[in-house]
Amino acid sequence: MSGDLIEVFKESARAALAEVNESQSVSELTAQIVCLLEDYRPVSAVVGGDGLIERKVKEALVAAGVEILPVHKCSAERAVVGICCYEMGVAETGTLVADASAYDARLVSSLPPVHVAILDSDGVVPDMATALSRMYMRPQPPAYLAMVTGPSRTADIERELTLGVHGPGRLVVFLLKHDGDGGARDGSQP
Amino acid sequence: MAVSRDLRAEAKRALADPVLFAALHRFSEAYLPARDEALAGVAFEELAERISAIRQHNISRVCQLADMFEQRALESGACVYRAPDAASAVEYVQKLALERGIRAVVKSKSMISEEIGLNHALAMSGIQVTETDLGEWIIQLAGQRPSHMVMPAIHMTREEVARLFSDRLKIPVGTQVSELVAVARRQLRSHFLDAEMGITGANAAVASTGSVLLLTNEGNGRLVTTLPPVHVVLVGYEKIVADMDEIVPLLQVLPRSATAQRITSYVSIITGPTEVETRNGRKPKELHIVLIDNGRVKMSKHPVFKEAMKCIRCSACLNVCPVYRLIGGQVYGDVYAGGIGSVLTAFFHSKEYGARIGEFCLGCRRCVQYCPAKVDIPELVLALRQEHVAARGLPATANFILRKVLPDKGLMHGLLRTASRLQAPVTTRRGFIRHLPLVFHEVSRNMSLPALARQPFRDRFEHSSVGSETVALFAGCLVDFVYPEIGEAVVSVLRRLGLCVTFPEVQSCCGIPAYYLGDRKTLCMLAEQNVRALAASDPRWIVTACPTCAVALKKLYPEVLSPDAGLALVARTISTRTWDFASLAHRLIRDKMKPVVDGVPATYHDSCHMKRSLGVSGEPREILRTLGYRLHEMKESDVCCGFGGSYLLKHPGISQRIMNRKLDCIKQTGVGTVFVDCPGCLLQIRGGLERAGVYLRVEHTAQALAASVAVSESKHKECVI
Ligand code: SF4
Repeated sequence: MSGDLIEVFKESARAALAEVNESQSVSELTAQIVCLLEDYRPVSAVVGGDGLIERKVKEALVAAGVEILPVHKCSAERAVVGICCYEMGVAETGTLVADASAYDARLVSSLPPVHVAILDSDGVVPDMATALSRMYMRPQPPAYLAMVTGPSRTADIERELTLGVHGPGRLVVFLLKHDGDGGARDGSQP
Repeated sequence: MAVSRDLRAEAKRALADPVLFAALHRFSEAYLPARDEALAGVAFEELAERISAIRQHNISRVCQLADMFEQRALESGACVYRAPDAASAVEYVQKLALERGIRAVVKSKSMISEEIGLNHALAMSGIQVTETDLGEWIIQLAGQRPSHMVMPAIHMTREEVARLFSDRLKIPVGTQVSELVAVARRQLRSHFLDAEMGITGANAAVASTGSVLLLTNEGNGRLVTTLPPVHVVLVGYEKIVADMDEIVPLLQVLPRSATAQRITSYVSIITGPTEVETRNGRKPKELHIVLIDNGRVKMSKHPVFKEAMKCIRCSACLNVCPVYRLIGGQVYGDVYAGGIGSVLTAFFHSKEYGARIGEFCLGCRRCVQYCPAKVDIPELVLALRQEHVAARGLPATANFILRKVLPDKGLMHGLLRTASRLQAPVTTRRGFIRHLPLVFHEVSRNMSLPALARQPFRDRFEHSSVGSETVALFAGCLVDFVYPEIGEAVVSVLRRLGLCVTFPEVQSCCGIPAYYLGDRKTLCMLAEQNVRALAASDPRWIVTACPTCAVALKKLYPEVLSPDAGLALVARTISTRTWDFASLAHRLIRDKMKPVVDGVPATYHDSCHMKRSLGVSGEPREILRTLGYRLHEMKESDVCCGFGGSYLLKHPGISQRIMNRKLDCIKQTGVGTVFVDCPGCLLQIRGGLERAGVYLRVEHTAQALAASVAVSESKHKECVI
């Protein structure tokens, strides 16, 4: 994916008040997440999905002494941070896109106050039209398509922008990049 | 219920509410710059055309799309109920809730649920309904109605919200907004987790997939659609789009127009039921989609009002409405607010009630410029008013004035003079009287209105056949009876150009005052009279110094006279030959003008009809600059001055507040001269300044040009024009 598009995505996501980091490898990613959670100790997390990256993240967190809770509504409500992967990012708006048909995916991204979103930089597309057409061209289109741009917000009281009213007040995006030598996603290849 | 509201009294109370005033004004001031920023790089006009075309097409096949949607949604595993009206929709949800033994419901903001009165009905069945959108929740706790479509609690201060929270929730609460928001988060959590049913609206329903689209910022929509085992979606027929491609322009325009965001924090597209967690483990949830007609199909078949089906409920029209920002949606509207709200109310609720709400519309057309679906809201409000008048008739006095007096200029002038003598008006040294003649209205007590000219323009006009080509002058009432000097200025400029200016005597009122009161019949009568009068001398141009008259001649006459082919043809000729004064002057003398003043600071007010109906705003400015005026643009130069013809009489309080705002904008420029191109605006602004004791010169562009003619003549300089 072209570097420009990634830059546009980062800029748009930041404009929507998301924090955006880059990770050159899965091990760097897990280290970064562990580091992020230092501020919240003692900290519990819920992780949605069970792909290779999610498993690596869980391993790293457990090793760092983070409590990983099983995903159901009461634990997700208790957890400080919810972590999951997204499939696409829309450069135009800084939007994260995922098939969130799985209940877990929505719980971890909507109940805890902090949300960590992992996005493979290959998934960045220019605009909504591209994202939507890719999603709905699939043989099994999503039953619940989730698009997330920045943290939860409200301006309902005196128009003052306030984050985290019902959803996460902090959204931290990790863009998993490729450094070009094919070795970036160590461990992420089957 | 709501139909019996005393809207005038409510408007009066709203006007006296300083918190509402400050909040709505702050918002409306912040809105446009933020919207423009969010739209940077987006071709708004093209996008709006596209949305409009898509919706128009969908309206014409709404039942077919509904069938397709229903089928696809059923295939996806959802239950679909097509509700013909509000009562059946409510009954369906109520029955569903009772059958499932549901006691607690969480809702994310849905206007259609308010339209059908769902909360009340569920509460009557002993079901607890909790609104979860922060603003809606505040309003629900306070037992009030929303004052804004997107920000329902905009009329409350943080202190009021804090007081409300501590009263209702019995906990001590600080007044920091972040603290209040945190309280809401904590309080609503258990409702989300324990609710057995979630109710949402939808921003669109996709026929080809059976999906529903939801846009939210707070994240409550995601929780409402995820946590409870039953999800009910309420969606109106107008929300159905054909396929996913049609979602894209909607996503581009809706958040930008509504909250000046490029996109909302959350966009969810739901296609069929997903899994949910229950006490007995995971299982598929129940998804019920209630497709609501409630007047929409009828609307989609109506030759005029189908236009309102295009509305995407973005509220841009409210955000730029000068009336809405004074009285808010609690007064200006019912469930749906503003001008568009009055039309929707007429179809979803009651024609009469809708028409009454529509009385607040000034007809300034500012909304049309910003509507992303290109709905001509003021025309629809007017059509509603006309229907109402056709069915109910006009009040007797109005009827007499409109039907008998307006067509007869001699009678009109005579009556005005007699009435003003009878009332013994106090004429101040600047020629303003404190009382409008009784025969026209009783409510004008607090207004400075202009004294009538001793001699109307028609009696002052000197006929002359000298000149090359003929320009027929259409005066209009205000120039004829109140400001004949503007007419004379026009004549002097045009004669100076060597043109033969004529004044066809039989001409009368242009008819727009009648039209705006809903009286189309009188407009037709006057249109015919004026078209015949103007066509008689076959002039090359027809000029008027009043943009409202220009709109009548150029746009309305061909349309209202269309049933008579012969007359329509004449009307079309008249239409193409009609010019507002500034545009004609700009065309004829642009290259011949020379400066006559040396950088005199001035400002220019755009009249609604001039700018938005005729599309003229650059020409008068160019003329004034060439004459040597240094123009300082005022804030909101194209916001209505509050005159609005008969609006001044119908809603004097609102009109005056709008005017005060205009005066403030003028005063902020610090200049000594205001130019306008509309005698109505001139009347309003001069009168307002006079009452405020501020002495600024307010003149018509024609007067500036005419003065330059005089200056150049007296100085024996090179001819100015
Ligand atoms: S009429 Fe137009 S501007 Fe007003 S809410 Fe509807 S779409 Fe938006």
